[in-house]
Amino acid sequence: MRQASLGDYSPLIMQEKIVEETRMYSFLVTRLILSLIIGCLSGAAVFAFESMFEAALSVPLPSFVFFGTLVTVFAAALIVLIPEIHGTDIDVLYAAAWKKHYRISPTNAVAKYFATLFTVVVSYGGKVGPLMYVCAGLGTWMSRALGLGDRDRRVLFISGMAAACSALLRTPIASALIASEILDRSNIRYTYIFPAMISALFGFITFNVLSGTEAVFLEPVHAVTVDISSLWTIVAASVLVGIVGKVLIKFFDLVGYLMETVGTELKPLLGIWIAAMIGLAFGFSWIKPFTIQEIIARPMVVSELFTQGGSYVIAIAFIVMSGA
Amino acid sequence: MVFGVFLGKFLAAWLVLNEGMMIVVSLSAILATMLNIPVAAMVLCIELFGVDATIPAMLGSVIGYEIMKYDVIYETLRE
Repeated sequence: MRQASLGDYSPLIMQEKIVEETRMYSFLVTRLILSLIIGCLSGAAVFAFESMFEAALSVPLPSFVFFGTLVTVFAAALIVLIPEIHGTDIDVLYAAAWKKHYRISPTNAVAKYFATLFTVVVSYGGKVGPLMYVCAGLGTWMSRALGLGDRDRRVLFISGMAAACSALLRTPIASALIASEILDRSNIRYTYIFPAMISALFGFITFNVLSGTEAVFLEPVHAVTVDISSLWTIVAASVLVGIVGKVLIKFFDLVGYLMETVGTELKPLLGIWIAAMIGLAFGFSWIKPFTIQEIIARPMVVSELFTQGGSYVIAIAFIVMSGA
Repeated sequence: MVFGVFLGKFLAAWLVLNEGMMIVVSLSAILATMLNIPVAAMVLCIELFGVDATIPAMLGSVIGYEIMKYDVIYETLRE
């Protein structure tokens, strides 16, 4: 290790060091402040989405089949007209990140926002993926407005994703990790995770403040008891769930293959409509306004779990594989 | 995620086991399996269920990920 010499402490070198360190810290602080702003904006965007969603669900429809189909046509038309938002939520995010270098146009973000709103109102499907896309679009928009470079755009893109996920799932730390891990799990860096954590936390807080939730940290949703003797049970159950997941992916592939036969233009329309009709037939509409915590806390009997869980998976397979 | 919860509740009722533990195992394994996000899956379960869920969440996500490493729903994650 090199010994420090007297020359290292000369006024000129010290001045250079101070300038360099000041630049580095101002760079970090700027990123954290921008992530905080993206977090607040994303939390507000998710709150607006949830408010519109709940308001739309409370409107009584005289004929669900007729009006539901009408909204389905509108949602599917939006998706087909803008090819960038057509695809499964993660595929669309991936394409924006890797093919477009972390760029999402405001038109695409707005179109995805409303297409998802219409889809989840009449049918089913995840809100997390599409809203992650929309809020990543907020990050892109902000980086363009401020004239930031590629690295900062990537940071704000991931921060937007994390904030949307956090506002919906109410899990800020996991959301920061989901946003970083989903795009590139082999390249998770502190430079992305720290701003994503700040953004996720402020997305969560903004959503809570706007929705009137007082608790900042939520209580665990369910009691978990684990003893040493149950470790083998956990391993066996994990293997079983892994195998079920493998079967499920084959089923999703099959649905995807069937959906290909109807053509790209008709896929979203058919997917949303089939999922809506399955939901109508099997009665799992109660899921729609529920958070994941509320679904976990809801007591259910085995027959209900089997029929509703099974039909829900079939409905989701059609939605996901249709690219809606 | 919702399917992971359904599956966990179903397995707990069917095998007469602790419901919370089975939901944690199922949720973490399904997320690690279908989205290939093992670390986030584990942390998500700990955030939802508390520190008691660490061991089932860790085992579920690691085993689920190892079973399904190269086979996910999303086309782009397969490439």
